[in-house]
Amino acid sequence: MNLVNRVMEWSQRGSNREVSIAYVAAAVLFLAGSAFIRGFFGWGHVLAIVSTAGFVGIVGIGQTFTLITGGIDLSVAYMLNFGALLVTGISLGSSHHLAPALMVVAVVAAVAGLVNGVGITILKIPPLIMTLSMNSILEGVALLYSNGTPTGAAPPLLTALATGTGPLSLPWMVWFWAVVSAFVLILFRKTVFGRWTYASGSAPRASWLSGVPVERVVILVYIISALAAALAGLLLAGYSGQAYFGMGDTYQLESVAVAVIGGTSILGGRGSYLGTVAGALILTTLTSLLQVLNVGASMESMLYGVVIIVMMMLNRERQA
Amino acid sequence: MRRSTPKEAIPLRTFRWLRNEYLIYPILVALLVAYLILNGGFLSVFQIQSLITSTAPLILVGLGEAVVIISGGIDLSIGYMVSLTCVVVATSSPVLGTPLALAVGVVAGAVNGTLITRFRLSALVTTLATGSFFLGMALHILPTPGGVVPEWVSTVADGNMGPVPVAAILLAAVVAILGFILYRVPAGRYLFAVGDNLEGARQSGVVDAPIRIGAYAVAGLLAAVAGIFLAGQTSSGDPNIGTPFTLNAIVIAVLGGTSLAGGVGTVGGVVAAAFVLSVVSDIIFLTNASSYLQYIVSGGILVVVLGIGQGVRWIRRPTGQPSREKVADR
Repeated sequence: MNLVNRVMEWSQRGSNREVSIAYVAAAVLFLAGSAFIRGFFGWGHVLAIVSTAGFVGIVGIGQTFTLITGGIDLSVAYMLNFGALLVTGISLGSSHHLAPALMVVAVVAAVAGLVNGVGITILKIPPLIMTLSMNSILEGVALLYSNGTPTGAAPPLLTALATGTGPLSLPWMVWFWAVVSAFVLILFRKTVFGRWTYASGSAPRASWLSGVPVERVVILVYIISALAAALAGLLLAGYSGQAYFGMGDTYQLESVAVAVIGGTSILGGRGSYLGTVAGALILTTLTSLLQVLNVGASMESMLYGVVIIVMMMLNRERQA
Repeated sequence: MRRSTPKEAIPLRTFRWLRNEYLIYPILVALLVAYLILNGGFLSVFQIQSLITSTAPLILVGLGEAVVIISGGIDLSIGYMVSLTCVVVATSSPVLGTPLALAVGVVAGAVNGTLITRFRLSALVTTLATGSFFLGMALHILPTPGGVVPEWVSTVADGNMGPVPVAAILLAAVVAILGFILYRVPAGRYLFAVGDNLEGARQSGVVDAPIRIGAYAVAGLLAAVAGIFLAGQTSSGDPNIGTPFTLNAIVIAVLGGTSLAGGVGTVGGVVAAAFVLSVVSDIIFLTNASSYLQYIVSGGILVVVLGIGQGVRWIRRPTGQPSREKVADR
């Protein structure tokens, strides 16, 4: 009883409200789907939704925290794609070459994120312009690297991670996402760096005056965003067994959508990765519903647009 | 961004020219000379004609984006409006297709403007979202490239009247009308006022909502003209044709001297900037460099241009302090 009360109390507090509503919405959406569509309900389908949500959820890490710093990262699409191209191109389908491939991907992502961060903080280029330009640059570099035709294949280890089943008959992807989420939540809730991230987003000047290294914090957030996008690229390469051009295109908008659905403010300073996880579950459940209804990719694209605008309107009311 | 930075506070007089909105013209001349030299010292009439017709869609989307940025907003859906209208032209009846596409562009832009001004949503995320919606509509209408484009649309987009491309005449008309509205009509003055200082403009009696919604509608209309052009040039509809135009529109607008802070921009600068981008891509083609460099140039050009001035200032900053300006301003 005490626990229930504490949960209720927690869910009423400030931004936790939006997060709680998002989880309830995810559950309601799933149950609604189950009520109307035969075969939608089931533990297997829940696991499938959660593991699929992991991909956009991991891209959403970067989007959540760049939004919290008052920026946005529109370079995730080709960061993801380039990460996938690199890992298949270097490892050539062999798990023995996975380690060097991972190192190359990590270094490339870190450099891209660093350039984003430096451009935004030191060169004062608006985040929108900087990351949109970076997206185009990464697309060009990826095309030059693969000469337009991706080669190689995903190492079996990555495929196992993205599609295999682990302990407790849960997919490895669910385990992996849970571990990553826990790490992200600890990093941004329990460390000084996490505090600084929120501070830099809600009041940059005041934070700087009180000794927060705002520029370094923002640069680090963009590096984390690039690393997260590249990680999602590795997993997606493992999932489809290969890399291809355009595999990251939808993730640019989806990652913004999951963050906004989860209650992250596009004005900066407010938001939580817990909300983004709920946002990823909602969006994936919706996509899954649409796939069952067989409306096609064009309708999904339209729906993402509507969902983002509706969520912004709803969150707006709460801000006022 | 600090509100009232006196111009004298900037220690770099030598780099003042970087802020000069006329800088784009010497750059364009230099690039044209380089192009001329690479091409063996002459340009055929055909090359000049094709340079103009291939730059036409870039000029149109660049002008549309510039109008929105001058009004203090940003439009990330321009490329997808181009795709949508291109598809509409190719799938409608020959007579109705073009007016319908223009109407679709205006309505799409007005929707953007209404969401942003009436509901006070972030222009960046709203147009990102509506862009996804427009792309979805385009893919729904025509999933793969195809359709039929009326003969006369192709003639307008690609044909010549004597030595003059029809596109050039149409562009001249667009530039003249837009220039007239921006510089000779109260609505144009209000556009600059609203973008420069929204609250100030309101206080002086400017009704800002119609002006700002109008700016997005103009962007939609110009995107529609660009979409019709592209449909005419390729003689088909393609739901993905507009995707690169979103970034290119912003690059052209900003390169042409439009300030991202709003309230500053010129028609001539934008036209010149569109030719700069076009000539650069022709030079890449002439030097047999990989065509993939195009993406890196599109992405890098604005970062370099916006970054140079601030970068030099950062290196020469007085005592090693970080600058005090707000980080990540949008």
